Amino acid sequence: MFKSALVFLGLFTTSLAFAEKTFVYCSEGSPSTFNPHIASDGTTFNASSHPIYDTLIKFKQGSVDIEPGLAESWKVDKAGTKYTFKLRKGVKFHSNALFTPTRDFNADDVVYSFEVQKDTKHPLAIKNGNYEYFKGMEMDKVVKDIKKVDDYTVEFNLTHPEAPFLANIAMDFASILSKEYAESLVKSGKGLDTLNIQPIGTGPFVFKSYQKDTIIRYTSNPSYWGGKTKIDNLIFSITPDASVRFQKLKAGECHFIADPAPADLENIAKVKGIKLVDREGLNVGYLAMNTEKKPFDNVKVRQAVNHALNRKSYMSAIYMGRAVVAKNPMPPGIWGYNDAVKDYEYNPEKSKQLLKEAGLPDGFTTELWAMPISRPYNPSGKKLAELMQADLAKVGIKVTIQSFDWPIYLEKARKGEHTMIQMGWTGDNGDPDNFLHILLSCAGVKAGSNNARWCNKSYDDLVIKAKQVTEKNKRSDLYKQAQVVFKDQAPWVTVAHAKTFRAMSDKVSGYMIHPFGGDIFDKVDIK
Amino acid sequence: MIKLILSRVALLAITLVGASLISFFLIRLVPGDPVTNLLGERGGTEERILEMRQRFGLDKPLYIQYFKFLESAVHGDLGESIVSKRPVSEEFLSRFPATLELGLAALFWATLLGIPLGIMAAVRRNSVWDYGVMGLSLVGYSMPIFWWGLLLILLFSVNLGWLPVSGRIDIMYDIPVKSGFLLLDTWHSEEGRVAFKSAFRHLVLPAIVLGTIPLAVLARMTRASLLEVLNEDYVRAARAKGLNENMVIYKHALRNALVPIITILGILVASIMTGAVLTETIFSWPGVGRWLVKSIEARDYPVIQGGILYTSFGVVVINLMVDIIYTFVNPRLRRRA
Repeated sequence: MFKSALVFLGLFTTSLAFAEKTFVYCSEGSPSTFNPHIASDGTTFNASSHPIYDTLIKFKQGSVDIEPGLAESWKVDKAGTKYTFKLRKGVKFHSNALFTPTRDFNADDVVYSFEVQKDTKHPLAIKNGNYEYFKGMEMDKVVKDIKKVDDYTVEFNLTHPEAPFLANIAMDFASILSKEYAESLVKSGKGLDTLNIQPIGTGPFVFKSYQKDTIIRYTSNPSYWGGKTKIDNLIFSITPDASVRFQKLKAGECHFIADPAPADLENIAKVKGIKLVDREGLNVGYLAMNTEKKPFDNVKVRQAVNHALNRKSYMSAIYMGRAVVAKNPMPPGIWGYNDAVKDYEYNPEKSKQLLKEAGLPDGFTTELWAMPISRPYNPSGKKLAELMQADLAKVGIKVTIQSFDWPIYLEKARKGEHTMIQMGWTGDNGDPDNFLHILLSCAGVKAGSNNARWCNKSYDDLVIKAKQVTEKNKRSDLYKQAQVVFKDQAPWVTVAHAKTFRAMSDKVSGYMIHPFGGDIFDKVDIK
Repeated sequence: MIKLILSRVALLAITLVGASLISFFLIRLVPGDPVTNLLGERGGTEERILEMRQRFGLDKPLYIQYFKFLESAVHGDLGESIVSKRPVSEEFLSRFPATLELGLAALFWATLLGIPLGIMAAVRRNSVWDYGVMGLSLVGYSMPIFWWGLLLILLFSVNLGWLPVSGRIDIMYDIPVKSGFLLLDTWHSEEGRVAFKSAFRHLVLPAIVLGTIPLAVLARMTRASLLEVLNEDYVRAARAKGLNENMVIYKHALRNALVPIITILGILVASIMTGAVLTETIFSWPGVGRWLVKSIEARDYPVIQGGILYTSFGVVVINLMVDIIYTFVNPRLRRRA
């Protein structure tokens, strides 16, 4: 008893003193797998694709622009349907207790990594594996076949010209796994499921161990083709509660924390020894009007709603100054952003006038769905809905606020049961298509990702054409035109682009916030 | 005795079928399913949703799904998690020792402190001690666990720096999992005592937080039970014999007063399972509670069904054990059995 009392009194304190450089990241959750092919959430990608794997093409650090990864160079044919990649030579796969590679990375690994996702009956495909992301990006429809030309040349044939293809294969689900490892697992009887728990990649860090829901350990890959990392060990200390993560950072138990709670940001900035960094996020928060339902089938009504909402006031009240008013459906950080678009100004009189023109001089009654979960682009859906309700009342639009549990909200929205709905999107490949096509195309109405259920011929033609030409300048022009059509037709009220924040010890250097929100540590160092 | 055990085992089977029915249908009554959740804001076409539902066997009528689940469960197969693609039993068993270790530690300190406090309050009835203990136990019983946990972290971990904020052991120790009970595993590890100390220090705050409500309950129940016994005739007789007060209380009264406390301990096990959900989240404790909540959010049906089945099995078995102990300590019941 006395002994335990002594321990309780805490004569021993935790320290992060190691001979080697060990970087501790307090992450927000447990990865569902270490195989990025079958994952779809950021937490899992942070723990799998970012440290362990590489893709053919990479996003530049902290940017949406692409650069060579496992492919040194590539060529696109005139028709825009054949992509030929020259692969990097001398890239080594990691080894673990089950596997030591006998050969370097080559074309076989690339063909395997895509074929298993395309053909779920492939002998090396994971049984019951849902290759959701691959299908979600419609890669199964875009990619016709993948051919090995020689050991270091691979050819992708597409069913139709699809310019966002390059950005797509820089995404996490397109990570390159070792074919030799997969085959050895089948041969030894360990089974392909082992890929989910004992990953082998070519990336900057080698997976060491995972204690479920607690700690993931990695060591630096000494033979990494991009150069050895500055830190020797990378540790994920899984800490689900955001306030506790902040306390751990304060107590020196981690160097870096995931997703600081919005309520803590002000306090974090004040703590000595901790720095808070931010950047404009690749997101948009919006209010969609269901154009299939009356009166929102009338463009004048939609424009009236746009004029009625005082979005500037929301920035301070809801976003605490951590967001900017959005005028386009995609954020300014993406190429093709049309800054010349003129936004609807806050003008209740004009709004009333438009309602009159639409034959609704006394306004109307409708529903507004408030987002039940907190996202940077909409930290408090309920409060935002109340402000919108008050603004709309001023022009005679009487709104009742509705909300549901998140899965139900999504399900009902997908079926188009809503009239006005708050929604948002965080981009995952930095291509304008990733916003303008997914969220607003006619195909998006079917998929349930187009919440305004707005299918406009001239807009749709523009974004589909922009997929088919490969030249970036031409694509950019098409997207700029599409944004003009969007603004004029007003299927949404574009509300905000939120900033993203990261907090870390001031000993950390070399970190840059990734625009897609993931955390990548191959360039970090600690003093 | 054997009769009692047999009848209890039969009851156990009925309880488990009941628990499986409730967990199976209740989670399906909640709108939204794993497919909607996997698709998220991106959505998906009808064909894709249908294809995914088929893959998870969610396209069949509910009663067929249930009987399929029951059939495999009887054969010891609880299916595979939709999120992690690992067998549910493997996922459960790898997390259970952490919850058990934390639960036992919580119960240990709750008993160690709760019973003496209850005795003190009863013996010095209506004194400052009594009011103090009862007042504090009321506060403890009503304590919001999340707030209490954060408060202790702020005080002991951040401001005083005495104890670690969260986790099960210092990250510098990579202890191979043998029993899953970290106190045991560290004791036998290469690092030995140092690692054990670290694991112990990590256990202190979560155990205090999780044990707070059981402690309050135990203190109040001990007091009530002892006061009742102190009014019995045999206590009066013992006093009349001229025994000293300590002898009366500890030898005659307390023994009888503690019998109902054993039943309470059985019930507290269930309350500890509930409290574990929050405690595990605050202290990043890799146990069953946190895992189940995550799975409910993701509508991971096989995990929820399997997890609830396992948990109810555990609670029922512990209650059975409590009943058996109860018959042992209570001579009247022993004879009847």
